[in-house]
Amino acid sequence: MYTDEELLQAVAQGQQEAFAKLYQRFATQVYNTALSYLQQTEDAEEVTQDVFVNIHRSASNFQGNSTVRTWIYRIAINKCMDKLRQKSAQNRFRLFPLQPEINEPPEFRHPGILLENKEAASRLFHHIYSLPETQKTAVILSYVEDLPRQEVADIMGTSRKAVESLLQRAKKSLREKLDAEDS
Amino acid sequence: MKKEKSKMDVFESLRGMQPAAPPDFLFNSILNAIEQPEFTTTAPMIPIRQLRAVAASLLLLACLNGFAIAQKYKPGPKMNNQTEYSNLTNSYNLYE
Repeated sequence: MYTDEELLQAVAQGQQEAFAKLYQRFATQVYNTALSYLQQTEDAEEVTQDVFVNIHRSASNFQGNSTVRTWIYRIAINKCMDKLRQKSAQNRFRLFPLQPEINEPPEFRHPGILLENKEAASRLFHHIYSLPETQKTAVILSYVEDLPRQEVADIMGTSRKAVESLLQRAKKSLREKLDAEDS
Repeated sequence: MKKEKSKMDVFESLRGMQPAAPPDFLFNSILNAIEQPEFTTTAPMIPIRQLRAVAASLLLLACLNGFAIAQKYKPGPKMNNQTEYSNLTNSYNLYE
C-alpha cells in the first residue's frame, strides 16, 4: 500500500500505473467537489479532467509543504473558480449578455442525496451557488466534503478561525434566503 | 413551526449524502488529454471594456465631425424666379 506522497513521486517519474492508482484514490473527491461547486455534470467532468492532467504534468513540482490531498483539493478549487470566471467572462463577451438569472445553474439535484432530502437539498445547493467564492468554498469543503476545519483552512490558505467565520456568515446568509423562500 | 424550522441545521438536508461516482469514460479521456501536446488553454485577454469605450468615443467623434461639416456647408436659400439678388449675395458673399 503506497502513501499518497509515494504515488505522486512515482507519477513524477512517469509511472502510469501510479497515476491510475492516484486517480482511483482521489477521482471521487475531486469530481464531487467540482460537482458541488459548478452544479453541472459536464462542467464537473471537464474540471476533473483538467485537475488530473494538471496533477500529471506538475507532479514533479510538488514541494511537500502540504499533504498531497490538500494539494489536489487546492488544484480542484482553483480549477472550479477558473471555470466559473471563464463562464462569466463568456457571458460578458456576448454582444447581448444573458440575463443574470439565465446564467445561474439549472436546477441541480446531487445524485448522492437521500430521496427524502432531494427537494430541500436542491434549494440549498441553489443558494450555495450564489454565495461569495470564499464562503462557497468553505461550505462545500466543510459540509459537503466533510473535511476537518483545519484541512479546509490549509486548502484555502487561511486560518481555522477565518474558516469558522466564513462558515458562520454563510450559514446566516443561507438561513435568511431559505426563510425568505418559506415565508 | 417556522421557529422550529429555523432552529434546524441549514445543512440538515445534506446528511447521509453519498458521493457521486465519476463516469467510467473519464479516466480514458484524461489519458488522451495527457498525450496531447501541452498548450496554454487560457485565451488571450481582450480588454473588452476599453475597446467598447474606444468604439463609443470614435462613434461620437464621427457624429460630431459629421455635424460640424453639415453646419459648415449648410445650403443657402433655393433660387427661383422670385429670389432677390440681394439675398443671394448675402448668402454667398465669401468676402463679407
